[in-house]
Amino acid sequence: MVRLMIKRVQCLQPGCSKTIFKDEIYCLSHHHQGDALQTAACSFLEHENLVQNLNFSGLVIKDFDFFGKVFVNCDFSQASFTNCTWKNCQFAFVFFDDAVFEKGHFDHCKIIESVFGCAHLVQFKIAESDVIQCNFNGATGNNIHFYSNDLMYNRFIATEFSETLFEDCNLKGVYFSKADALIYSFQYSNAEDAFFI
Amino acid sequence: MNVQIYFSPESLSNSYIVSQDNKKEAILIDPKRVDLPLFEILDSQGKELKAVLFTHVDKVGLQAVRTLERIYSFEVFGGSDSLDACTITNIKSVPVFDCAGFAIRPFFIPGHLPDSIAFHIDNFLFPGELFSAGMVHNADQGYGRALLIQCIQESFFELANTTLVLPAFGPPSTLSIERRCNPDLQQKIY
Repeated sequence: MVRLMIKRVQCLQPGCSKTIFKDEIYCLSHHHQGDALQTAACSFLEHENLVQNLNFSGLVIKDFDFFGKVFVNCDFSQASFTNCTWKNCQFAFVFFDDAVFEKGHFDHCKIIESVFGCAHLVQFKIAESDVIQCNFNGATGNNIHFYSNDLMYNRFIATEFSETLFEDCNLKGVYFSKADALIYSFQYSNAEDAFFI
Repeated sequence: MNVQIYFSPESLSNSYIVSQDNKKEAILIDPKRVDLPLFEILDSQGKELKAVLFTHVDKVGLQAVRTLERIYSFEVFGGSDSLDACTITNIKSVPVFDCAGFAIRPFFIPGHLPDSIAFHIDNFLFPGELFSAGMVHNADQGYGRALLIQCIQESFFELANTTLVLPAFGPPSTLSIERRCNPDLQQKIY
């Protein structure tokens, strides 16, 4: 059961499609105190173990270790994570749509009902994690390694991953696009339980 | 607005409890089974069920209503007038209706079932089984499916990109993602 209270509101700057940052009226890139907010948000994430009902849309984080943190109902849409690692973390209803993940990994994490739609992943590894009923539709990237995960009921429709390996993963009820069967490697995974539409 | 998601492991479907923080009234969307955890969510927060909304009324959902009727007094809203002696307030042709303090906008979407309704509350869209992340429901006939896709495009694409999509089956999504990545909705219907 996940309680969802977040409200996604578009930035007031004309022509901007990003969502607002926390309780502000502009996104980080259009906020006049954007840099200060960015620093405060990073400091907050560093010290809090339970992060819930917060909007970090557009946040840029580098070289960060999210060890053991719990994220509930948060919005990281259009955020950028470079060289960040998540070990023993939990995510419930967290939005990473249009986010960028470069060189990092999720390790021993529990991720449910979360959205990675249209995200971009480069040299990224998701290992020994439970990733249940998540939305990866339209995600792009290369060099992605899913290793020993439970990926039950996830959706990978219209993804464009290259050099991607699903190794020893539970793919029961997972949806892929038809073309993915030829592109991705499903070594030791039960691809026969997945749907290719 | 406060939305709680309940995934039933038996029916593999999502139900949603919608309420406001400072109010007792709650709305339940698409109950399939009243499992103990679902009841515990309502009970633990002292919520009082005021309405059940169905995106499509079927016998499984009505069983849930029968169970809930023993505990709460509520109104049932859907796209038909009644089913198996259960009175349903038909909101198919209503532009907006008020319930538990919310202004709810129903969308009647033809092409799949005669009573298919989607609900838009605040910036949340509850399309039921009409569409979910990356796919549109397989309507029986080519014409029905084409009509369904056209109606989805015409009805929902006017909503804000930031609208969250909470379907009856599968993971959550956003309208922005569906517009860009749902292969079924990329089709041009003339």
